[in-house]
Amino acid sequence: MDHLEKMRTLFARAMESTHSGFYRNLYRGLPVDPGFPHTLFEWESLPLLSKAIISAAPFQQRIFIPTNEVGMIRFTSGTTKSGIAAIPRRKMAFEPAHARLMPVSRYMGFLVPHGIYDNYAEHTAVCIGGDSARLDASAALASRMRIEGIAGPPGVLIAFASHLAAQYDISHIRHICVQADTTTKLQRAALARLYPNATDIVSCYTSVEFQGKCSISPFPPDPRHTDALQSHPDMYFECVDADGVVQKGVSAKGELVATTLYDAAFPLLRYKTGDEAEMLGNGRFLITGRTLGGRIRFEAGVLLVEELERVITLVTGGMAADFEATVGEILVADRPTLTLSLALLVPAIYTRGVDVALVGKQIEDTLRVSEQRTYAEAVARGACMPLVCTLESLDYGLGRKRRRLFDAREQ
Amino acid sequence: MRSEFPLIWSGGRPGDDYVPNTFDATAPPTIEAVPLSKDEPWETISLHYQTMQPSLIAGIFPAFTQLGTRFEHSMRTIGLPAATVAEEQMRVPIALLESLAIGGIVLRQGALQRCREEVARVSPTAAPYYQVILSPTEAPTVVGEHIFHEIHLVPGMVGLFQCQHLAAEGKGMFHLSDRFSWKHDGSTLMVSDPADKRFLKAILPRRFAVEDTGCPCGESFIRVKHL
Repeated sequence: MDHLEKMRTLFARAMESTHSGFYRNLYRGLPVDPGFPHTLFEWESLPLLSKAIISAAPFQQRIFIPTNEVGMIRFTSGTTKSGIAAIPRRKMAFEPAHARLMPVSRYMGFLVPHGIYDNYAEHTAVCIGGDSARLDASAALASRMRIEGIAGPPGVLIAFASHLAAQYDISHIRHICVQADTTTKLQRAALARLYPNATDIVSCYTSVEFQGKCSISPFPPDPRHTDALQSHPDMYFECVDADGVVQKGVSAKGELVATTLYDAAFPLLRYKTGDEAEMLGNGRFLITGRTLGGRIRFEAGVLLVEELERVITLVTGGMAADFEATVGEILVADRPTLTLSLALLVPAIYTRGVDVALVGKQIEDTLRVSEQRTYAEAVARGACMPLVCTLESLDYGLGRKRRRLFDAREQ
Repeated sequence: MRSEFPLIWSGGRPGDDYVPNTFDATAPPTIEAVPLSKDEPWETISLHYQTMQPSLIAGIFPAFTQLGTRFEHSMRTIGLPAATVAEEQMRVPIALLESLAIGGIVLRQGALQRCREEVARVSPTAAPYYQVILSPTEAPTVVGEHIFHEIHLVPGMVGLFQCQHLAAEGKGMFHLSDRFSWKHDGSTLMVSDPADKRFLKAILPRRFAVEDTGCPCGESFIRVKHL
């Protein structure tokens, strides 16, 4: 079955009245017939999908299958009810994503919630779930399992390193599958340093909608080109410019758009990944950056990640090269309820013996959102959200609303 | 070295699931990995399914226990939809209680009270049954007609359990899983796995008496005195 035929099947299913109305609403008014798309040109006329569009839809619409066909449902958010995915009962369509990427006999995954490993029927490795809320216990279990690979979000894997190293010879970790769309290059470098024997650190793309599975499959790196990613047969990739026009041919550059052609609970049709890509031909492409760049947007203006990094490095005495910035609803010390805040995760290994609350205050006072105003002053005026500096990752199983703030910082 | 109860096991086979030997995630030095075969069913899932006939069951577990893996595998075995969620996120499936018609909830005892409160708040008319998982050292704290307790030797391995009749009778009565051989001397209960010797012996420090008759389901049961 070629891509076009898979697209027809997928599109027909998306438009079935027995399914959620998400795609029917998205495609309302389009001149489509039962055989759509007849050509790739027709396919490229479909509106692009984004995370914002998905997030705006009620969660029921994102369960893309009739309730009576629900096979398994996974939930990822305790506060917003937004991260819900359902898997069709009639066909378990899990992507054995990590399995393909992890040529190891034992690994621990934080990326996927408990239970998913059982679906990797063809996977011969022992897969065990990590609990990001209990990293020390997970490290103990991992050490007993003598794991050789790990998978998960970068913040968790960075934090996990110290727990694991305390109980295990961390040089056994040879392979890391990291959640690519939340990983900065600095974090990737930190992973390489913290797991010195991990010669294979590969990218895995997920959607926040489906933390239970890889909605956008990972791509095994092409050995002939270490930076290139190889598309999966069940994926279709396009490259579009800022106006959404498809850029074709070798060396085409633009934003990566992905379509999941397999029978997923909520297939992504023409989903903008937020990656800047360069197509190399033969299904290979390079990720060259993130479309948002290293920017944090505030009501008060734009904060450059470089400036944030400069201040953190200054305040911590040059130690904090690796940090993760997120926006999330978290408990701030002097506020009674969850507050939308800018959270800076600075790994403990860089701030040992330092009062992180003090570091956070110093950052607020030093960081400038404009020539006239420091970050602390902007917070006081309500133009910026509170800044919290932490040693531990703020989310991952704690039920807090969290979303990625900025993307890969370009080096 | 602290342990919930003496436990000896051996080996593992390719394809096995691995679970921790304890429910206690605060004791990393004592944590070991226990192999459980995917072929070994979580038999009480199907037992309660057969009697209660839910259309969908939710599993609410701490990720550390690996119970989600066992749960979902069991659910697929009986061909029933399952909703699996981490304990910290239990509000989500409960919020969907009515739209998804969740008829049963499997969870740890520590989450039971909060879960029942959430269910009562979200859908006062909903009456899912609760399958409550206890560690070998825990005792039931709440009894009820539709609250079925079971003691797991390790997460996912049921040793003692309640049918609906025993659950209605009281919290101290359990059936013994017939997957194991049981011995007792009045103060301890020893269990062994005669099938393949992977799970060799465990001792439950309980006082109990064996009742051969009395449960309407026809199975013998034990009356645990110090639960």
